[in-house]
Amino acid sequence: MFRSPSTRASAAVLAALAAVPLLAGPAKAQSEDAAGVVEDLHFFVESLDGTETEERSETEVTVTLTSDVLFDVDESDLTAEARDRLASVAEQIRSEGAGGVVTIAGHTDDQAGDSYNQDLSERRAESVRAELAGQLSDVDVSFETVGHGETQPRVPNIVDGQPNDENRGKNRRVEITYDVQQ
Amino acid sequence: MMRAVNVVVAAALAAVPAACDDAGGTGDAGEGTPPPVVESPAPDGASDGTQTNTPAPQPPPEGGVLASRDVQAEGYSLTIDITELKRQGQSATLSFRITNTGGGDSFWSMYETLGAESSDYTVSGVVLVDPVNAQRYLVARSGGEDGPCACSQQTSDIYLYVGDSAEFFATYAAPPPDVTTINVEFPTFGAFTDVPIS
Repeated sequence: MFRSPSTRASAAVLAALAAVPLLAGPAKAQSEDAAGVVEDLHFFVESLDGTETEERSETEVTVTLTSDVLFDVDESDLTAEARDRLASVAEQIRSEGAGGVVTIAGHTDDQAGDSYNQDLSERRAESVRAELAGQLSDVDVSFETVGHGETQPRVPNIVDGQPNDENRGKNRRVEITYDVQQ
Repeated sequence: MMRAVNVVVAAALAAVPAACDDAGGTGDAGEGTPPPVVESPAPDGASDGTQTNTPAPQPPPEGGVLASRDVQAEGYSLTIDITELKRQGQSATLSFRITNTGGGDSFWSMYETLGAESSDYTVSGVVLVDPVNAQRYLVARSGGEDGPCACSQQTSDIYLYVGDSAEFFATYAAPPPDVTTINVEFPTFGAFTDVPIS
């Protein structure tokens, strides 16, 4: 039985689980993970400076680069560093990609107007596409770009009623998603 | 930042034990796995924390301690033992044990101490850091960024009396083969450097 101080909390958890069958899903996946049968596990690795994050599942990889290492403020032309960064992403796609469609999604923070941000995110996604397409011209992949403006922040732009510079920096980003060989 | 220093726990402990029920009952109802097994050296019937209906999901430690540290938490002395860090295919799994070795006046409540954010009753705030390649490995999750972690959950159910210990695990992407040691960083408990990967 449960340790006495936690009895009520545990009972509440179990009751909630029993009442909502959907919640049993994660439990099942968790048990399978422990047994070594990994089906839908996503792995996350980020650079210590926070400028690059990689999410990897069995079928696809998403590399997220912060806009601050790709572009100057309010610009959509790539910086010199951006070309180096994208060269390594291109190399990843070349070595482990499964072909098909590479999706490039641009995102901004919440500063400036919605339509301005929408346009900026689209132009930045297009700049990344052009660079990757040039570097991967000999690889059988196609590209799709999309701009999300400020509509899909990773983290809140405003924390405790105050604009949060760190979070805004995380939200200004370009995500590159490609299929991996299985 | 992803990690929030836990200031709520101390306040909750200072209050009457009944406050634990409220604090422990929120935020974790959606977690599907049972809490880690609590081991007690002298079971007295009133403190048997082992769940009998479902097995705990962590892999069993295979003996030995890779790294150990004594820390203070809310007046309690705790020992953190890293018992295993094992590479298996594309993943690496960390196993560790927390033991209450003394201090305080009752039991140490884990709550969200090792969560990645507030109200996160898991150990997903524990990360692997490879300082050579400047990479940080976050806990794996089912289905995506917002999915349940591949790590010990329901830490709100962990209460450790003096002498009690509990086992935990967390799974990460496997570092490259040439990385043979790595740092293990805990929220509030500090970093263990150069932990060997088996």
